[in-house]
Amino acid sequence: MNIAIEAHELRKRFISYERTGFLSKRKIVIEALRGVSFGIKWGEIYGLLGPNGAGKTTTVKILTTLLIPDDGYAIINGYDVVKEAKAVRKIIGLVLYPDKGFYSRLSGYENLVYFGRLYGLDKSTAELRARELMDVVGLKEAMNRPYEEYSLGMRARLAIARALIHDPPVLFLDEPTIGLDPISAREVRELVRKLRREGKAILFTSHNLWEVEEVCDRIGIINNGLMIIEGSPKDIKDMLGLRYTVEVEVQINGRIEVLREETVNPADAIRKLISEAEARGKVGKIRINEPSLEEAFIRVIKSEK
Amino acid sequence: MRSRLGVFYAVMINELKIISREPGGLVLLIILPYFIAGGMAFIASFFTKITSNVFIRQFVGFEVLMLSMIMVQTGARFLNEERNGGRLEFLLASPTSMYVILLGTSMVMIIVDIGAFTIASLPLLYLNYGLIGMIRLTIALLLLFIGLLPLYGLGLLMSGIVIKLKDADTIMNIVTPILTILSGATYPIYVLPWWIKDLIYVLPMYITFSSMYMEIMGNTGLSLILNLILSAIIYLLLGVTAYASFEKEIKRGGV
Repeated sequence: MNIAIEAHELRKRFISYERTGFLSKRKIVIEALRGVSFGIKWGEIYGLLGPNGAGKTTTVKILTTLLIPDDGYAIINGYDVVKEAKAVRKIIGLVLYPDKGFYSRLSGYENLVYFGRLYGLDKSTAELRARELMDVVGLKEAMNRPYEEYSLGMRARLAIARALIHDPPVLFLDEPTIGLDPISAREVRELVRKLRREGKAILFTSHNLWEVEEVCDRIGIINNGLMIIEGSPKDIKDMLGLRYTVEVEVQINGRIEVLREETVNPADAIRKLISEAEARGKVGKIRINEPSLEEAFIRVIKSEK
Repeated sequence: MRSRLGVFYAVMINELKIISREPGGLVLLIILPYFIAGGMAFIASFFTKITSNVFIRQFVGFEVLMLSMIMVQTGARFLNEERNGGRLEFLLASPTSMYVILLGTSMVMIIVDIGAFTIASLPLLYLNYGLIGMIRLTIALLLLFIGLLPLYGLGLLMSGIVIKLKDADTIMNIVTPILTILSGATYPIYVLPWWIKDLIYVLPMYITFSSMYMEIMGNTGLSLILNLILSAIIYLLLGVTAYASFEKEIKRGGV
């Protein structure tokens, strides 16, 4: 079986209340998910993107058995997330809030051992695994310090270590690099890529779109509870017809001019601009600006509005 | 089964570590009944003669009342703290049942409470009854253990209500005075009208207090002990069923 995570037509509504006066309130129905479907293969990192309130966290919570969908179903490694929730919980690791979710009076190591025990590891295995992971996430020196003294970056790294404590084949990483300094964030991305090479299926969310582009094999953009577009970052940019900007510098009598063209086919544009530049003077620097995932994201969300 | 016991043990050790790093509450638990029972006896001594039996009655009553409140509140406070600390989702997303976690946490409280009761009452009972007092204390502690089980059941019910209504403080501020008034552990209940007395008999605090006090006085009441066991079964069943229903509901509405 090649598919690790399958979501089929997931639907979820929440009942909330809106204040209409000093004491009065009105019931409102929030359609958090309106039929979201996608699949993630083994050894694949899937980026789930969307603006705030799009339904990303609701999707993650359904897939991690924390929420029961109103309609539709989801399967993880062959187990139904509602009917076989316990089997699902054994094979998933979760990062939800990188800056909280631990016992402040316990050390980072003690926290990890405890969560390892909750995942069914025996004491010695949990201790061994916790020590290994503290080393992997660069917290070996601070392993016996109380969690309350950890910086935001250290907490985020500990959250990743917890997700890996029982070596699960499926990972849900909800903004795992938030608050991390650039070096730590790069280490986390490297770790996530290493986990992919081990064959794990990873659902990754982040508002940092260049990071998603760098890490994810495929992405899905959701908005207002609907999957808008899905594919590899390159496929999505192609589907949206985003243009590359090609710039060629040309020296004419000691003066520098820039020839610029926006195109979907940069190779043809380069050839055309170089021959044009050669005809006018000496060819200087050549720059190709690839359209970013951020542009694609903004275009998708704006077109929805 | 072995692995489940292992997890249960891990939960208990974890809770014990957390409690031991905040020891102020434990000290209070030991000295507070002396202050309250002593204070009451001091005031009462101005208009009546205070015997050691009256003092012991008040002392045991306040101790049972305090421990009862702690037991009823433990689960609810625990869930509230886990939610506020962002840990509840991780507990719910782990393969360990919440019953195991809640029972492990409450069991630590039971052990700590019994330990506190032992430390607090040992000098008092030894001074009054000598070695025989120690034997009676051991049996009274066993009765306290049984008596805390129905309170754990009530605690589960409270936990369910707290996670449904998402407001631990208000609920506890309502429940605590009601249970305190209806405990029957710190005042003579024979003066009350029958319907209040019946309400007090139905709740587990009075049966716990009464069976413990009778044991310490050397008058073991078998019917009281049977009532205590029956109450443990009924309240545990009530708590487990109610909590299961509330937990399912939060999975529909979100943590």
